[in-house]
Amino acid sequence: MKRKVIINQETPEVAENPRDFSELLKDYTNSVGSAPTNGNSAVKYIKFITGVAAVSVIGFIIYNYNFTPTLTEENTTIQTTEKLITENEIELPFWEAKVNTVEETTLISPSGVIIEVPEGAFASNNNESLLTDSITLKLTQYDDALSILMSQIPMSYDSAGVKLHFQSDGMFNLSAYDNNNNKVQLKEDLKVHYPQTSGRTNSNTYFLDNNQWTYRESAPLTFYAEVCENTIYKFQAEETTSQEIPEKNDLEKTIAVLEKKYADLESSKPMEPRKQNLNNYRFLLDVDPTEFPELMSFKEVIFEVKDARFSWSIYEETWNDISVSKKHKEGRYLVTLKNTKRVEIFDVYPVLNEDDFSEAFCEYSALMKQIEEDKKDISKKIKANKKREQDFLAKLKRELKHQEKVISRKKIVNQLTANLTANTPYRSVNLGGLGTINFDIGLPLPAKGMKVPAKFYITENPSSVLEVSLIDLEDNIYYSYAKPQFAEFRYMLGKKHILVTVLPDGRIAAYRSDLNSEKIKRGEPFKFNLDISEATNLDDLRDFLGLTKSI
Amino acid sequence: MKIPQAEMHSNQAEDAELVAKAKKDMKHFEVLYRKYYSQIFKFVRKRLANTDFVNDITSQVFLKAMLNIERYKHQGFPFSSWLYRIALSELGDMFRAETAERALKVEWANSSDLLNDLDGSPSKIDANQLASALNQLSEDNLSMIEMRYFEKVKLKDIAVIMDISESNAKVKMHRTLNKLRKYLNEK
Repeated sequence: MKRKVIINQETPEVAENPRDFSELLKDYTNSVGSAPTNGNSAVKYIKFITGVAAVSVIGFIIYNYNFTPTLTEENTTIQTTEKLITENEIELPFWEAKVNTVEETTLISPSGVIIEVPEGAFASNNNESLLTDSITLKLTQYDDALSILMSQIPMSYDSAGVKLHFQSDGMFNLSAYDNNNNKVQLKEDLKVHYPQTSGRTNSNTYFLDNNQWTYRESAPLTFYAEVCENTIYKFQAEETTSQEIPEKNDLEKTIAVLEKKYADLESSKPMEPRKQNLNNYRFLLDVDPTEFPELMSFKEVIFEVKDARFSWSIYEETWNDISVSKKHKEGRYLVTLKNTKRVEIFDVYPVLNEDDFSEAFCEYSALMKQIEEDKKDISKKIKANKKREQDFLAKLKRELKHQEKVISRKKIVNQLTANLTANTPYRSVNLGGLGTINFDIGLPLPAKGMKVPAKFYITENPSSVLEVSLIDLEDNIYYSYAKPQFAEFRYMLGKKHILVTVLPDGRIAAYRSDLNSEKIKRGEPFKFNLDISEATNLDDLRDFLGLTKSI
Repeated sequence: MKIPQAEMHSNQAEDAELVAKAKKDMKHFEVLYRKYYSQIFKFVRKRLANTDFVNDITSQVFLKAMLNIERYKHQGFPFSSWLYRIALSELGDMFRAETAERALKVEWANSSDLLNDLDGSPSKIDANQLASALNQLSEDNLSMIEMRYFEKVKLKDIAVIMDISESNAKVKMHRTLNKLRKYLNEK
C-alpha cells in the first residue's frame, strides 16, 4: 500500500459539500434493488459486517458494558514478555470435517458432538449463492475452565439489565470455510446434539451475537441413546424400507424378449397389395414363398415393370435364366434375364389382378391392424419394464450409498473416544447461523458464602486488576466481579475454585488458596495477591491454575 | 483534527430513536446524515493524500450505513462509532485496492504524548524519524496511533470503532508502541 508522508503540514482546506440527501436516498433505493444480484457495495459491506462479527466473537469483555472503570489506561503500566502465553495468543484445540455440501450428512466428532447437515446447507458469505463444493466445518469446544478462559468469550449475560453469570453445561463454536479459506454462511439450519458436562435439567440455549449473549430457548435434556435413535439409526430405518423390485437380470431378460418380439413383428409386416395397371408391361413368375414370405398373400405373382428400357422385344427374345431378387427399397424387386448374348436387369414390383386385389387388401389391412396392436402392446410393456429397471438401478445406487454412510457412521461411532454411554446427557439446538452457542443457566453473584471485602492486585502494578473471575470448578460457574463489586466478594471456602484475571496486556494472573497460607476470615478485608503466569503453553498454564487435564 | 468526544457521547437515546425510525422509513436518516457528516468528513479528509474526493467518500460511508442500518443494533455505544467503523473499512478497502492514496500526516506539535509513551523526547527523535517509523506500521496499527495520539480518541472508543474489546485494544496499543520503538531504534 502506498502512503504519502506529510510532516507538519496543515490538512488542505476542502470545503464540506455534502451531497443532497435526496440523491443519497435515490442511490440507496437503487442499491437496495440491485443488492442481491451483484457485487456492489452493499454486498461488500455485508461481508465486512460478518467479518466484524467474527472478530467480536473472540472479543473478551474485561468490563461489563454498564460498568465504567475508575482506572484509565494512562495509569496502567503494561509490561509484557512476548513469549508468555496470553489469552490473545492461543488457538484452542478444534475438530474439522470436510462436508460435501450437496448431500445430507451427519457428522460425529470424536468427543461425541453430532451435527446434522442438510443438503445444500451452505452459501457463500459475499453473495449468498448456494455452495456446491465441499466445505470445512470447524468445531471448537469450550467445556472446561481453561478452554473457556482462553476462548476470551464473556461468561456473563445481561438479563433485562441484571448481570447474570453462567453456569455452563457446555459451549462450542461452529464455523465453516470454503476451499479458499473464506468463511461461509448457513442457508439451511444445522442441528447440533451436544454432550453436556452435567445432567442439570434447567439449562437454556444462548447465542453469542456481537459479543453479547442472546437467549434462544430452553434446552430440554435428552440422552445419547435417544439422540442416536433419532439421528444415526433413524436414517437406517428410513432407507431400508424398500419396495419389492424384481432382480435386475430378470428385467433385462424380459426387455430383451419383448424387443425381439417387436423387431419380429416389424419384419413380418406384409407388403401392401397393389392393383395391376394394364398399360404397363407385366409378366408372371413362379416365386418361392419361403424365399419371399411377404408375397404369400399373392395368389399368383404378377410383376409390373418400372423401367423405360423395357420394350415388347424383351417378350419376343428367348431367355435361358430368369431370377428375382429383392431390392433394398421396400416393395421393389429386380428381375434378371439372361441368355447367351446378354444379361438384362429390370426394376419391377408385384401387383394383383382386379379380382384378387380386393380380397388381398382386406387381408392385408386386418393383418396390419393386428400387427400394430401387438406392437403397441409390446412397446408399452418395454416402456414399463425399462421404467422399473431405472427405478431399480436408482434404488440400488441409493442403497449402496446408504450402506457406505452406515459403515462410515458406525466406524465413527466406534472411534468415539469420549466416555459416552446410553445415559450421557445431551442437548440439541437448531443453528440458524454459525457462531458460538452456550448451554447455560444464568446466576446472580453468590448471596451466600463467606463475604470478604477484597482487594485483588498484582505486585508490579497494584491497581491494574479491573475484574476477577471466580470459577466454581465443581459446578462450572463463572462469576465475574468487576472492581466496584470487589467489596461484595464472597469467598468459596471449602469448594474447589480458582480466582483468575486477564490483565490489560493479556497476561493471566491467578490466586490459588492451596498455595497461599494466609487465613481468610469472614467479614474482614483481604488482599488477594495474584501471581502472574509465566506459562508458555496450555499444559503449563493448566498447572499454574491447578486444573486437571480435560481438553 | 480531533474526533469530538462530546459529540461521540451525545444523546444516544435520540440517535437510537432516529435509527429505529430510519429502519422503517429511510428518509428519517437525513437527520443523522446532517448531524454526523462533518465529523466523518474530517475523519476521512485526514487520511487521504488527495482530498478531491473527500465529499464523495464521506457520502459513500453514509450510503453504506443506510444499506446496513438493519444490521445496526444499539449496544450502548454512540451511533457515530459505527459510522467511524464503516469509514475505516471503506478507506481500508480503497487503500488496499490503491484507488486512493493513504496520507500519513505527522503533526509534530501534537506528538508529545506519543513521544512520551515511546520514552523519547523531541531532542532524541525528529519528525522525519517518527514519520518513517509510523510508515512501517500496518494499517490497523497506524489507525490506532492516529486515533489515540493525533485525534485524542479514548482507548475504549477506539475499541468500539475497531470492534475489539478494550483489553484487546490495550494489548494492541502496547504492541504497536513496542513496534514503533523497535523501528525507531533501527534508525
